[in-house]
Amino acid sequence: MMDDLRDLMRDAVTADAAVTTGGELAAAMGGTVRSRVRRRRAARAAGVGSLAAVSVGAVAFGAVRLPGAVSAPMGAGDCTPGTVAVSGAPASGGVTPTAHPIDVSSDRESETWLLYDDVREEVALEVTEVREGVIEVTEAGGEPYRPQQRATGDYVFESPSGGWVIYSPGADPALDWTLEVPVMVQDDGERYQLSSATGATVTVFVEDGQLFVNEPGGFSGLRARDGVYSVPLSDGSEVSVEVDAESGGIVVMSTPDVGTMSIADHAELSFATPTATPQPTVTCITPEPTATATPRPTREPSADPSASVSPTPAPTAEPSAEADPATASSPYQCGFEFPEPERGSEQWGITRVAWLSADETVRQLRDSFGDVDAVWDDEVPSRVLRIDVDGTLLTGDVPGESGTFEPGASGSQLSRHAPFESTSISVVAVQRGEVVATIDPKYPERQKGLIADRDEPGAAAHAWLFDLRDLTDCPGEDADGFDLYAVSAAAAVAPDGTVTGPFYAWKLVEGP
Amino acid sequence: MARWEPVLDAVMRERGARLLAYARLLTGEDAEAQDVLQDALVRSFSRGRAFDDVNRAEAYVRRAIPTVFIDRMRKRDAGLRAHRRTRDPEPHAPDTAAVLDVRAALATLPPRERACMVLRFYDDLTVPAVAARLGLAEGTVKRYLADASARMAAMLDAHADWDGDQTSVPVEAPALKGAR
Repeated sequence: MMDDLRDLMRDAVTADAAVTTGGELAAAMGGTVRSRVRRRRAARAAGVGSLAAVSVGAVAFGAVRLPGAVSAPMGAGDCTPGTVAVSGAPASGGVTPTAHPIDVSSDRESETWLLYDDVREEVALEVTEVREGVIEVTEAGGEPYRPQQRATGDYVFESPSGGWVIYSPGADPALDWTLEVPVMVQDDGERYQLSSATGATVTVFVEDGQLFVNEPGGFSGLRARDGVYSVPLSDGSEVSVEVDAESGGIVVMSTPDVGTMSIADHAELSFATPTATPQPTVTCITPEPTATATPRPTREPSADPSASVSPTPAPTAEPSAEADPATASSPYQCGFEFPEPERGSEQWGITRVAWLSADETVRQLRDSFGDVDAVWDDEVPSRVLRIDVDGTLLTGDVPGESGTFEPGASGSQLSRHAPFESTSISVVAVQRGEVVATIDPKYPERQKGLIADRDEPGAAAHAWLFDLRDLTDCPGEDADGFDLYAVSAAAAVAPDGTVTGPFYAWKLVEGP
Repeated sequence: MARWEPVLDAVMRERGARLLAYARLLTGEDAEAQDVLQDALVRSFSRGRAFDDVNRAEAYVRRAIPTVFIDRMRKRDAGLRAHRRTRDPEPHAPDTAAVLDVRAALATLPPRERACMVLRFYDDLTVPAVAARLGLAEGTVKRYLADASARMAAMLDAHADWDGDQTSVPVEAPALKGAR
């Protein structure tokens, strides 16, 4: 009997599908899928590629840098105090500075891997396997270079965002804030000694599919969670280990080397220097209507913080979160004076500040992130400040909404015309009407007291302030007995480089 | 509730069973198929795109499934190569008695060959399209298809011509082993 393999396969799928109901499936995995999607969307929307989707403070605006704006090249000009610097792509092509990490989104085109910057919606990195043992990396239009293969067979190189790309031939490229350091395994035929890069060790063995670990009192069995054992090393760190049911052996996962890795510290990770080092251009945005190239003699806040692109760079230092009070022009900066306790507009504003109970906070975190533990390790305080921001600036065609990316497709059709928008939420301490403590935007990964979230790009954003641990006194200040202000900013960059905003908003927080 | 959530829910309820069965065709086992489907759903819905309807969303998820499957295989292979410390697994000998239908026959194939066969025969993709979808060279796909077709033909006591002009391939299924 001649039969058709295609029909056989389709019959098999049909028969298989008949034994499962969609309701059962949704009940079994719906919650987990929703949580994972929410977390990843929040991470993207916040422009942070971390697992915890934690984005705080003036990621873009305190440092007065807007990532991704492409403008006419103007050399390495700096901006007038009180203006906003916008990093731009060099005219000759090259690495476009990004103030946000690049999310892990990869697709393949033949033997080339593409890492997409989901915030800017364009290819950030291309990795091509030239031949066995040789890969070529091209960053956003820059010159290709060839990282050196490590002894472990993989490649490690720095991404344009400053994160790390780990490329293992035959596997997904991975991007992370931390470097996964392989655990070395030695075995004598019966037992395995696991050693981390820090020298910490542990001895384990497998018997009847169960993993046993050597502890001070002797060997004891460990309990697996979802098939994975967390094995404590001698330094207190943990290694994930699976028992391979097929072989009876073990599979040891990597262990993270938390946040201390740098090329300079690890010569073995050194890679070929790119053949050209592109220089970013800087465009100045002059706050209107009072912006001037002359530093203000007094601590006058700008009358209207909205801005437009200025065609002329000025040769002065780039503003920062610790700007000279005399030049402070945004509520994220030390010395900024608040002319009124509240400011906002239809285009951008703080729509609500409210104190939540611990139960309300837990409920909201679960709804947003699926699990409180995903973003908050400590006990939830009895009072948590919730800050909501929104505005007409972000409505309409926003990044991602018009994307046509197709998983696995050889020619992904990501929209490259969507405007870029950036949003920030933070808090500052205010005494005598001026900012005396800020959250330093340079170290968002260290900030834990404020958690920002957003369902999707272009949507209203919100944040929870758990405590004030991230507030840093301004130079010469010893903030005490201060007022707390919620501050926010947003800007949009059109495909032609036209910047709308930034619009600043603030609101005095009262209570609890 | 965000706009994507009702669509996700509808995909799982209305199309989930068939998507899971499709994933199972690739994985050969239920638990792995659920993981693959879950990852494909997360990957498809995390990108910020706006799905207008269930059909479009299902198409994205379905296209993501083979990619997710291959990615998981690659990671697993890499991990095993790097860190497995014990005796090698027993060589796998196809148990012809267990090959009762095409699913069982597929399950005996290595993952990449299985993915090529499913995309070639179930999804009716051409060799270049299979290569593009899986990120493999066309020559590699041809080799996989040739090897896998030969094995399936032997296991099913059938004739399989993967390189013909037809989009589907006639095979001769034995009476006792036919799936229908």
